[in-house]
This record gives sequence, structure tokens and C-alpha cells, in this order.
Amino acid sequence: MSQGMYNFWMILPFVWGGIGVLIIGIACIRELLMLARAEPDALDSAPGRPVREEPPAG
Amino acid sequence: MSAAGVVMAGAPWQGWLVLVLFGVVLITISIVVARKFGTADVDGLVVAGRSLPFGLVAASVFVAWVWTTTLLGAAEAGFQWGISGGLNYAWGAAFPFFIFIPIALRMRRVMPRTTTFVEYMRERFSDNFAKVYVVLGILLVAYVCVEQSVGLGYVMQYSFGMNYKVMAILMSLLFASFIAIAGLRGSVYNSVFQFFVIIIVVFVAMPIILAMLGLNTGFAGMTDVATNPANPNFNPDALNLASFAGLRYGIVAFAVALGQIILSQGYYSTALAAVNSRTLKWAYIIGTIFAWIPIPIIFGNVIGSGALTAQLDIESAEVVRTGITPYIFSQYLGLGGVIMLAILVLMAGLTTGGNGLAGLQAIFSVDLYKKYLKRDATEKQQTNFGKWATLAAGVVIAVAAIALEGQSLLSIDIFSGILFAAPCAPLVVGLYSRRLNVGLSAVAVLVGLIGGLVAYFAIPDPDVNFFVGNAISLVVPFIIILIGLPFMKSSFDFDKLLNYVSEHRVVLHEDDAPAVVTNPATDGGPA
Repeated sequence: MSQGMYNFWMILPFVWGGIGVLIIGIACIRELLMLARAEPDALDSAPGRPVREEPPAG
Repeated sequence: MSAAGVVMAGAPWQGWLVLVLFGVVLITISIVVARKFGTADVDGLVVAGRSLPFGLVAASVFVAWVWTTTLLGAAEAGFQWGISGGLNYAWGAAFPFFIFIPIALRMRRVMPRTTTFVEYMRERFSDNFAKVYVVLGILLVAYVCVEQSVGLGYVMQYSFGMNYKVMAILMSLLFASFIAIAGLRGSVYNSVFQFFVIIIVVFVAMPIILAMLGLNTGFAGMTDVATNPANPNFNPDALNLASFAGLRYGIVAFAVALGQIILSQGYYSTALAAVNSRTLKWAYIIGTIFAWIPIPIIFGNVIGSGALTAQLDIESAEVVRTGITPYIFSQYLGLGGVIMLAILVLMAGLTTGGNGLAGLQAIFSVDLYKKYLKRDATEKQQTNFGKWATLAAGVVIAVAAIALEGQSLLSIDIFSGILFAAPCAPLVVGLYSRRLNVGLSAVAVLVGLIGGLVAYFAIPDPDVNFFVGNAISLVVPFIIILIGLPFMKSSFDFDKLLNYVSEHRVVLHEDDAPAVVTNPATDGGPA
């Protein structure tokens, strides 16, 4: 492995992981803000999506 | 250079401060969540009402799979196998999610009203066969949680000089408490907090350590390890990403991780908690491939390179290889680094233990209590039982963790891989094949399990028996089932799963509900 490849392999996971945690972090903040604004429907289910409640068996 | 005796340690009061601070935050989050959403109904307690959005699910999956070993074990792999160590740990432990994600999606589709994988096994195979999976599911969670408590006890002992027994008890009770209070939803919201703590520590501390180490110095140190036979850690493959020894380690990591994921109710509960299949798919893909995989690679690369460059001679050290991470944090970041690492491991252990216990709570509430203990139980009684059983499990885990003080968990790891890999095949194939029946499944699991154990005990080479034992336990059941299927005359009716009606109230979202529901009980439900 060359010095260049070593450098690339040491830095790549920070960029790769940074993208992943950024996506999740932004989504979490957005969803928590919805909760803070008292929009539980938006937080706890996709907006406008109908749901069907089902009774227990028997 | 020895790793022993050079790691700085904080004072016990600093450890108590960290513990009380984070303990209060986690319990407070659970209390707030329980008050806001309530925990009286079973679906709300164990699968968060099947209504969680992408970010919360992805954060929960990410932190649940960040174990103590993800950090310390990957660093150890980087030290032992060089540049390929972190990579092989990462793909080995993450690849099972490529199997789990289609399974979770398929399960939602063919059996939309299931809550636990045990329910699926009961309906797909038989009640007795499902009981085996109840036991396995409980054993798996116990193993995962005990391992977290032991690890956390050691971390607090090493980092702050605190009493191991007291810490093991407190850690077990802490994650049992926040799950008992608010169920899976409490675990998920706590996970979001822990997600931010983990990424702040990882993405702040690790780049600083890498910058202080220096890429040129790191490369020079690794080159010396790869080319200088006088180096105490001489390894010609230290700079080889395709190292065979590292690859073999990755395969073993895969076999061990597969059972830990496929038989862990916590991951099914989180998957079912996603508001729809699309959310499930993307939350698991982003949470594992994009966010999780780089974490062990970072630890393997940076800590492994740092320790190899420092020419640590682990063979002569009192501290085992897992001690290299506190050593590097201590050397580069001082006492602050030791405290940061302790917080990081604390968060990793608590989230994994919490997710495991959330799964156990589901099995207790849905499968044990209602099915076998009190057939006429109300949902309130089910959730109360689930909460108290979770707390009791916390006490049992604490006792087990105390009993394991000073014991190596390596042998438990080996048996966990062999024990939990064998039962995966029927669960996976049964979702797709009509022909698979309980007889063939039982034979396949038994042969795989016995074959794995025999290989482990019969092969004298300790570097090979672990690998072969796990591989046999994982692969043989799949081979037996795939060879046997063409000869099976049984034909399972998947409508039985499609029309399955849970014994507690279930809320389904339209895009996950089947197009045709033939069961009058569900068709008669309120729209």
C-alpha cells in the first residue's frame, strides 16, 4: 500500500461516516422539532397517511 | 513499551458525576416519553405503535449495533491485523444486516400483524418449535446484556477506579429501568440522545488523534511493522487490505453477528416500529452501511495505526489488547480523553443493553405472559408484566455480570456464535419456501449445532476450531434445508400468516397492509 492509498484509507471513513451521521442527525433534529412544536402526528406517522386500527383476535 | 500502568485514570467522583449525569438524563427522557405517549397498550410499549419516522429508527439501529466491542474490538483488530483489521471487523459485523433487512421487509409483508419473530415461528412451524426460539431469544438477550454490563463495569473500574460489582449492578439496573419505564419508544428516544453523544466523541476525538499521530508518521510506523522483523509486532500484511488472516476474522465476525441479529427481538421490534416498509429499509441501510460501518474502520485504522506506530508490545503487557484504546486516548488526549472514552463506551453499552431488553420485553409481554401464563390477560396486565419482568431481567443480568468478574468472555463469544448461528436457517428459508416443514428444520438445526460443537472440540488448533465451528453451525443447516426441500411434500399456506390476527390491538399503516384481507375479524375492525 502506498502512502497516498494509506492517507485515503485513513480519511475515507470520516467522510463516509460523516455523510451517514449527518443524514441521520438532520432527520432526528427535524423530527424532534416537530415533537417540540406539538406535531405528534407528523412525528409519529407519515403526515396524511390513513391508518387502520385492528382489534385483538376474538 | 507496555500498555500497562501508563493509562491515566480519573477519580471515582468523576466517574460518579458521569454516571449520575447521564443516568438522570436517560431516566428523565424515558419518564417524559412515557407520560407523553403512554405505555398502557402492548403495541405502544413494545413496537412504539409501529409509527416511528426515519431519523429515530436509523439512530436507534446505529447505536444499538455500536457495541463496546465495535470500539475496543475493532481497535484490537486493527492492532492485530493492521490496516485490514477494522475493515474486516466492519464488513463481518455489518453484512448480516444485508440478510436481516430483506427478512424484516418480507416479514412485514407476509405477516403484517406480527410483533415478535417468535409469533412468526409459532404460526409458520409449530408451537413447540417456537418455544425453542423463545428460549434462544431470551438466552441471546441475556448474553448481549451481560456482556454489556461486564464491559461497562470494567470501563468504570479502569477509567475511574470504581468498584466493578457496584458498577455492574448499576449499569444493568439503569438500562433495565429506562426500558421498563417507556418500552421501545423510551429506548428509541434515549438512542437519539446517545447517538449525538457518540458521534460528537467519535468525530471530534478521533480526527484529533489522527492529526496528532500524523499520516506520514502513521504510514512510516506501519511500514516498519510490515517490513522490519525486529519490530515486536512484525506483520508482513500490516499494510495489506486483502490480508487472508484478516479476511478469516471477518468471516467469523459474520457468523457470530448473524445469530446476534437474526435472533434478536430488539431488531425486529425496531423494524416493526418503523412507520412503513420504505422507512424501515432506508433507516436500516443508512443506519448500518453509511453510519455504522465507518465507525469500526475508524477505530481499527486510527487506534491500530497509533498503537503499532508506538510499537506497543502487548505480549509483555498486563493489560490485554483491548487496553490499547484507553492507552491511545490517554496518550494523545490526556485525562479528558479517558473521560471521553468512558462516556463513549457507556453510551454504546447502555444503548445495546437497552435495545436487547426492549426486545425481551416484547417476548415477555406478547409470547410468554399472554400465550403461556395468563390467557385472558388484558393489555394493561400484559404491559405491567412486561415492565416488571424487564426489571427482574435487569437484576438477573446484574447477578450474572458479578459472577463473571475476572472471567474472559471469549469462550462465551465462541459458544454464542455456534449456538445462535444454527437456528437462523429455518427462520430465513421459512419466509420464502412453502415446502419447509418443522421436521426438516429441526434436523437441520440439530445437525448444524452438533457439527459446530464437534468441530470446535475436535480441532486442536485454537485459531482454526473457532472459525470451522462457527462456519459449520451457520452453513450446514442452510445446505441441509436446501438439499431436503425438493423432497418435501408439505405446502405451507402463507395466507395463514397474512391473515394472522394478533391477540392485542395492532395499528397498521395502509401501505403495509395487505391488499386483500380475508379474515372477518380484521375486516370488521374500525376503518
